[in-house]
Amino acid sequence: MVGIELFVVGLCLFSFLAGLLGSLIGLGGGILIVPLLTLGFHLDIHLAVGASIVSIIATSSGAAAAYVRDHLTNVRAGIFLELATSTGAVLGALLVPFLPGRALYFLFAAFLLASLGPMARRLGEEVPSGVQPDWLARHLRLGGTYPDRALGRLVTYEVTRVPVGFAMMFVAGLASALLGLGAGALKVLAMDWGMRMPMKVSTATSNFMIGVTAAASAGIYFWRGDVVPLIATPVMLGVLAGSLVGAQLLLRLTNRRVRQLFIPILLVIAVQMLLRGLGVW
Amino acid sequence: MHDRSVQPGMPDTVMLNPVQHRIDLLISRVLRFGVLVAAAIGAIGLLLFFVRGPQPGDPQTLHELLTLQSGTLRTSLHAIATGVLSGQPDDVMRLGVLVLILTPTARVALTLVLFALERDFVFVVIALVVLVILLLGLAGLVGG
Repeated sequence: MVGIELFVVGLCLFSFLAGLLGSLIGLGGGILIVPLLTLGFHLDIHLAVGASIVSIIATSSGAAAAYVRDHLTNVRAGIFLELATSTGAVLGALLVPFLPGRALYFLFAAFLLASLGPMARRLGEEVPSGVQPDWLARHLRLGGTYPDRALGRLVTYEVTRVPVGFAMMFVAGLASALLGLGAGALKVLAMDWGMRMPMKVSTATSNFMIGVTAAASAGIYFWRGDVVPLIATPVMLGVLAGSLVGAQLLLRLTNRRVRQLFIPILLVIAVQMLLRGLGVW
Repeated sequence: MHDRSVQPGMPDTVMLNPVQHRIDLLISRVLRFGVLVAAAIGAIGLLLFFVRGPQPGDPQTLHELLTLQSGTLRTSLHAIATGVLSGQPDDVMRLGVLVLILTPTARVALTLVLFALERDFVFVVIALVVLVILLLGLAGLVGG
């Protein structure tokens, strides 16, 4: 009994950190929750993914409430790109029996590692300049404006290369269905690198989207009983509290700082994917 | 660039597009409401567990909790409703998680309505496709 109570409180505190980090860089916190539960507590991977899905939705909804209110989230771009992630996820779910899971982990890892270079080159960039909106961005009115508290002014930005971003989002949807991930890192890259959106807008919009991606696959895990109440609830409460604090922080951080935070995390995820591909974990 | 030279503060939001402003505010409220309700129900469930302890049929020890196999705690709407009415801690917690899972869905449904009110029909169709896929996923028909 005491064991369970201690576990619940500990998990809640750990989840606070996951929510804090996840809300800042547009990920769901699964990269922290899943290793803790599987490596630390030897929990069945399906149950760990069930907890991670709850963590993703909690980060997304908790932080997005603040980001959307402050116009950091690009709602139009988010919804448009959710079209790509959700159709990708459906296709992924249909393809699961036919695709080699291991190869996918390698592919994912390779992709993340390859994006490190372009990311690092733009470390000093605050807001992308000279972006010319493409045909789709103009017609769908995807550009936006947000008040930047760190810069103390309104930032107006354009969106470009929409097909590139859309294709990357489709792959992110595939990956989330096949590998049970929120694929937040891919989403941030699709918007930041692919569509040249400001870094904070990219992480906030990714944050907005991962909840929908995760909710789409939550049904199967939930009804199958893989969302264990005593694990999911402390995760939910901790992550929610963390994401509310994280959201307040992001509003005050510069785009450059957020990018500096994102790069090492990208490396960690890539290594995790490699390890899972190798079957080590 | 002197990022810190300007006092951090909220620049004038009046300059923003009023339609965007209204849509953002509504979406934000729905998300906040969903999250608060889910957290409140989850917290009540957790308190119930601390007061009443593990119930028959639920994992009794930390070891049992951590060695659970996938698929052993299968559940349904009916089972959750019955459990909540009799104050079963685990079912109250499940209800909290279910509200959390439904929050993004409610957000997509709301954006659908907002785009329809703006007569932005391309986005109505986009939101509709996303909503249908999401509902199929929630029913357990696709995804996972």
